[in-house]
Amino acid sequence: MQHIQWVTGKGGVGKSLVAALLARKFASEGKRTLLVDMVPESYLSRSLGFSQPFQGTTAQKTPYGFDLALWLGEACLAEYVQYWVKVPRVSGIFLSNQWLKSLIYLAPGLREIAFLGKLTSQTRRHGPPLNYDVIVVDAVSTGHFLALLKTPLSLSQTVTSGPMYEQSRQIHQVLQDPKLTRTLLVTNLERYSLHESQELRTQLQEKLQQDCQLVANKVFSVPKDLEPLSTAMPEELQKFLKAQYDVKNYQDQALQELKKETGTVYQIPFFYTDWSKTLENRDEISRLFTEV
Amino acid sequence: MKLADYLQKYRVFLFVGNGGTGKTTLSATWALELASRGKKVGLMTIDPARRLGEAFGMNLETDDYKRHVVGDVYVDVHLIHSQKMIRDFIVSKFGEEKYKKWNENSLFHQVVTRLAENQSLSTIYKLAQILRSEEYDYVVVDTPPVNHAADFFRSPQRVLKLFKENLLAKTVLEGTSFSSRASQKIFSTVIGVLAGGEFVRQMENFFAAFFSLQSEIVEAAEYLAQRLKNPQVCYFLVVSPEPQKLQETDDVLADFKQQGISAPHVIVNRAYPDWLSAQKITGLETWPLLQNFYDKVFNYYHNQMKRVEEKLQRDQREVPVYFLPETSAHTSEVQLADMQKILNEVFL
Repeated sequence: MQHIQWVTGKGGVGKSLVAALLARKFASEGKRTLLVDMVPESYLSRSLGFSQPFQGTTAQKTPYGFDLALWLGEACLAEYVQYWVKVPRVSGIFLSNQWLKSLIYLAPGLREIAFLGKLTSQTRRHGPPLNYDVIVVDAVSTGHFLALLKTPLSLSQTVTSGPMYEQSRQIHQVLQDPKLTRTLLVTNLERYSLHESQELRTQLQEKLQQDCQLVANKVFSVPKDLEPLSTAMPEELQKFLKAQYDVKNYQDQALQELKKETGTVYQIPFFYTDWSKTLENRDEISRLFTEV
Repeated sequence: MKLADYLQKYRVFLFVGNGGTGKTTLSATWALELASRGKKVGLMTIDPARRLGEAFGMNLETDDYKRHVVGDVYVDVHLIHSQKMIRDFIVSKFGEEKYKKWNENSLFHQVVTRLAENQSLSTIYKLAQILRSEEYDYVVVDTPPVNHAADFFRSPQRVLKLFKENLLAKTVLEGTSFSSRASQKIFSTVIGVLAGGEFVRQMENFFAAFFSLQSEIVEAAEYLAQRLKNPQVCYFLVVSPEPQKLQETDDVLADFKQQGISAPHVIVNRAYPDWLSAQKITGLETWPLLQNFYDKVFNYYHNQMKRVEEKLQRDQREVPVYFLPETSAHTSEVQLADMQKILNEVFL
């Protein structure tokens, strides 16, 4: 059974790194893992070392055991049409059509449903095979994420018969099923980031009856048995140490409150290294996403 | 450049950049600083963060305007509620009843939501209004978060394109735009098979509604496209210090150049923690564990700063670059006054 793992959160909280770490973790457990990017020339693809643009929806291998693909709505739709309209000449006429391009650009929900259709295609046995055990999506940030997830429901409510209706309903079912789909909501342990994550969590519950799992990113830690603050230390060192403890104490408290409200909270430490070094650290990664 | 130079040279300040870089706080601080110098300021902000509402004592759910008095002058805060604006717009054109009827169509509802989330329509409309009113000495704009910072001033053209493409889509649905009957037949058959005729019919309704908004928005977009190229408009590109994110500045600079707009001034926000000193503290042998820890954290931020400086130097940039520190803001409420102090230190 294939699993879908959404990774979302407000801009700047570190969604992409969390998504990459999660993909790395699954891959190192021997699962065939695909990481899906939704933005061309993104921070994610650059950080993973890709400078060439991606073609269509084709996946490329990363050095970390998982594959990376860029799925834009347009490309998903083109692939879908090519798959179902088997005669290349006909699908060619269809896809090169200038009006279709404008239709795709504006038509409500078409790009979204094409993306979600591809994402759920293996489970629904609809469309070209997608041989992965897990698909991790570095999703669009919070507001857009809600709109994306709402698409199948809106479409199936508006278009009340025909293939679009059937497909939308199926897609919605896969995305609603907690056994098939899981949403990770990345937050920082900062005052406003916490507020906004709580808001999104509530909206997901109220509007889509969907639960999500919180991930606290950039969690500070201070080594055990560190020498205590003392006036004998240089003033600048005192300032440094005090700043570390201030952040740590605030985060500890925020984490406690978050756990009380939401249950399990995964923690990702602040790494103090760049992406490639972080992703090479297998021991550290094997310990992530394990809190029960 | 000094703050006084900015005041002399520019009338409009636009803060552009990715989501999460701190544009909203920075633009609010900038507006307050200008007002504290005795100027009438209009601040326009999109989907404001809670902190801004708190700072100006606004209810973010209901208020879209508030005059914040500073001594003899004021900052007028204009919040953009895209959804509400588009709704008001449609109601003013077609009346409440028509809007309600359309709104029951969840497809229409979704398109309106999407237009609202895209935010360029309402931003353009409102900004054009504010600039035309000539009511303010200075206008400060917090632009919507985008994937690429230069997207903002492409948005007037995008909106124009949106309507043009929409016209095409409309003619497709009405079946009047195909050169041959055969290609039209293939087209509508495929659409019908994929989506169903019901879907096509629902779309027609929407296009009819949307199309009637055209003239006013196009007019505002054309005005703004010109106005944004005025030399009295200053762009601040707000970026975070991570190297891969900083690469984006290259794309942005190229875009600005291509659009014929003067290069943005760069603010590297949260560039370093406020405890970071230029030189590493030495003589810490008495506290070996602490020394280890300090070295690790210091090196991380120090290297990051070094890379940012090298990158920006390599570009041989002709425009100013400013570095703002990370403050204790993440643990306490952001006090705009503290931020103002920092801005003053950096810009004076």
